[in-house]
Amino acid sequence: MIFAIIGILLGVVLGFLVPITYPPGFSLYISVAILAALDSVFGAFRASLEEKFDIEIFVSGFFGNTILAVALAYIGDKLGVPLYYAAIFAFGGRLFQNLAVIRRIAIHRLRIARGVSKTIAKNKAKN
Amino acid sequence: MKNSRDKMIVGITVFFVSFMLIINIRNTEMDYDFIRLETVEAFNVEISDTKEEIEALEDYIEQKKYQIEEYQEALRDGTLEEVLASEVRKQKVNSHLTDLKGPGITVTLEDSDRELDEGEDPNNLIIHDLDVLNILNDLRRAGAEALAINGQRVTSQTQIKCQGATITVNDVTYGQPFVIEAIGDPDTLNAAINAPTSYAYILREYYELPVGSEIGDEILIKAFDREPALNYIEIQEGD
Repeated sequence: MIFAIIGILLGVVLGFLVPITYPPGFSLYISVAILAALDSVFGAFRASLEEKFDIEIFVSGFFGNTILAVALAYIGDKLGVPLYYAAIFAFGGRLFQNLAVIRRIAIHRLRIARGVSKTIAKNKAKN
Repeated sequence: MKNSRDKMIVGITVFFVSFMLIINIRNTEMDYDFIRLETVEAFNVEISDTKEEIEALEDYIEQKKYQIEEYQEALRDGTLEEVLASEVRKQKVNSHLTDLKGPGITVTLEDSDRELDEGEDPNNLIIHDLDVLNILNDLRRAGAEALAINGQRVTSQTQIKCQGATITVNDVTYGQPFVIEAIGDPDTLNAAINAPTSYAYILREYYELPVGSEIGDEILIKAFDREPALNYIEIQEGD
């Protein structure tokens, strides 16, 4: 968790500092790539909450999904069909799904924590 | 996440995602104007032109500074009159108001006395004002510093106009032959008259008009002997 937060902060800071520009034509590809990567990160977060996290699955998904999404967008561009919609719907939909699961788990844990603190309080009161 | 290596990998990937995200936001926020390569080139040319102009102006400033220094020195030494006199001389030369001499060339143009070909335009045998003008222009291009036609100094106000078989120069009418005198580098002036691309060459070779040229070591050109008529122009003060 600490590593992830450090990574986010470092990325944001460096992103503002490093003067990288690219042709506006690449904007779509990079946007789709970011969406795919974000989906992988949220998936990883969910998996770690469910204690099913596997680094190999995460890394392969991270790169595989990103590359596939960009390739799809590129092919779509060449064919004149907006194939990147597929990536947006798939990853966007899954993003919300993952977020929903994360929310549920978080609330569940919160309730347990509250319950535990209540029982502790009750026990204290009894004693 | 079992070990620190996994955590590192996650950290790195998350770093990549956030980095890309910020870069993308910054890039899409920027305003892009689509400029054609020609526009870039035009701007470059404009910049270099302006730079050249600045350089020329700096040279001009330097020149004027030098002039001021000269005047100040003359003031100190008490030779201001001399400096001003030489200035006046220079201006007189520029305004065609002094007699001049120097190496140069004399060009003589005459009407032809050959027989007309059948159906040929008789104008082909006559020297016209345009012929004189074209030869004058050739001489000027060859670096002629002073010019005269039949002793009439060619100034910026000189007219050269056909009046039948005669040509009027500086309001004085002359018949043929027309003698053009020019001071300048004799070799280049000679080339301007005799080179195969020159106008005089065409006159001589194709129209068979007698065009003579003679290099002189000391050609005399008289001053413009009247006051130039300046009724409309005024001096513009300042810039």
